[in-house]
Amino acid sequence: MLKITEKLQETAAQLLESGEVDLVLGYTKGSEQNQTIPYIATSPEDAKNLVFDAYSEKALSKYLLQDNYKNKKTALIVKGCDHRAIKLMLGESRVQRSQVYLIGVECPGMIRKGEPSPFCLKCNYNTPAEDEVDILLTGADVPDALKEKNRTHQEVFTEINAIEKMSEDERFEYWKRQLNRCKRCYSCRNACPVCTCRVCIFDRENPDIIDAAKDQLAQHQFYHVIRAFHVMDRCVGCGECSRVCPEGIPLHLLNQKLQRDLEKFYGSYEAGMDELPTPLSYAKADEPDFFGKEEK
Amino acid sequence: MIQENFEPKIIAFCCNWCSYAGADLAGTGRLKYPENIRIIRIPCSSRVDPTLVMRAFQNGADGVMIAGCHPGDCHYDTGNYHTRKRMKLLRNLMEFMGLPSERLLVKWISGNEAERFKNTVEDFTEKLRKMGVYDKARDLRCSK
Repeated sequence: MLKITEKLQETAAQLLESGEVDLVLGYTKGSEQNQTIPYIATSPEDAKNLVFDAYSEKALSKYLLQDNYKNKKTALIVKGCDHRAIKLMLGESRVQRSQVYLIGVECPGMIRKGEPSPFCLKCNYNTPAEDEVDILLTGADVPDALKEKNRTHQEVFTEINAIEKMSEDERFEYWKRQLNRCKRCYSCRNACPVCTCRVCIFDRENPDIIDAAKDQLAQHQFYHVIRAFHVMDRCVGCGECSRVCPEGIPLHLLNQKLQRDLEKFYGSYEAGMDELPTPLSYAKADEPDFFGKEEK
Repeated sequence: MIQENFEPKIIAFCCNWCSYAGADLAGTGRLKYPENIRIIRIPCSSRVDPTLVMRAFQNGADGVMIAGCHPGDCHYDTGNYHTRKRMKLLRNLMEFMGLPSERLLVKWISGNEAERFKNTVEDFTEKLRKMGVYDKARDLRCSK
């Protein structure tokens, strides 16, 4: 067994026995090969089923917003990207610090379908800072595929650069092909750890912001453009949106493109690592004005 | 598709304090500007968010214009700073998805610039007439 899994099981059993937490939210082995799924442990016996390995991809912080975690103290396993999302939630008072016990883990990166996950290759915050979590566990086994990691900042955007080089019609065809498969299942929104609105704009009934029509490209464009906009400066780069999409639409490209533009024009900002408020919630007089000169 | 006698439809969001007054002045001064424009009066140009712009394109607009006060002169102090930040990013995203971003125009027009308002509308209409009908972001049920 991996060292980190042992430490994790010990810590969890201890926390549950002493009654310091009501439940531990972590991962366990799934029924298929190389499958790790989320798991709730409520007693020291359950704690023996917890694992942490290179297949534990799910961002657990999103579960905290559900109703059944409200009045309980929860311990949860946080990887780097998860920790950034939790810090955003704490900074915006969506969860209380006294409600969570953070078990930080040294994340080795995740493997998806035999290949290292592209989001992990560019990650620069895989381990939460020790003074910001309640306990930090190290000793994860780094799989061989992930030893060669860390793309440079520029390499991260190769897919976006490739799309930008296409002509306008080609770009439209590319996105039309991708977005026409959208079923509007809202998995991307449900899995995103920074999509934290109490009532999502797409769930409101009055006014009815979005039409349920599934066969109109215009409605798919609408949904994805608006969601990318709402999430843009808060995106932590966990890749959940693309992972959970049942049609395999590369949604992360929209978010990454907006993040890069935000960085280019308004200064770099890493959600969860830099101080709040996020760049889009304020606007200053000294920002560049692109519409000032007489154009076109 | 090239349509003969194609008249583009422009939706203009004009802020109440500056650009709407400018448009009004163009009217009282009897300056003639094209009738393709449909003006919607909003309290400040920052009222416009991506939802409204996308909705306008879906429902049949060929061009969207957002007219606000000059930066520094906003009636609500900082509204137009938000506008220019958001709209710049929206244009880039539209460009990325293959929707031409020249169809979204942002212009600063103040209350006494009637001539500027007239020129903007004329230039924009001419440009859209050349670009043709905008069917890439249109909800097809609207054209029935």
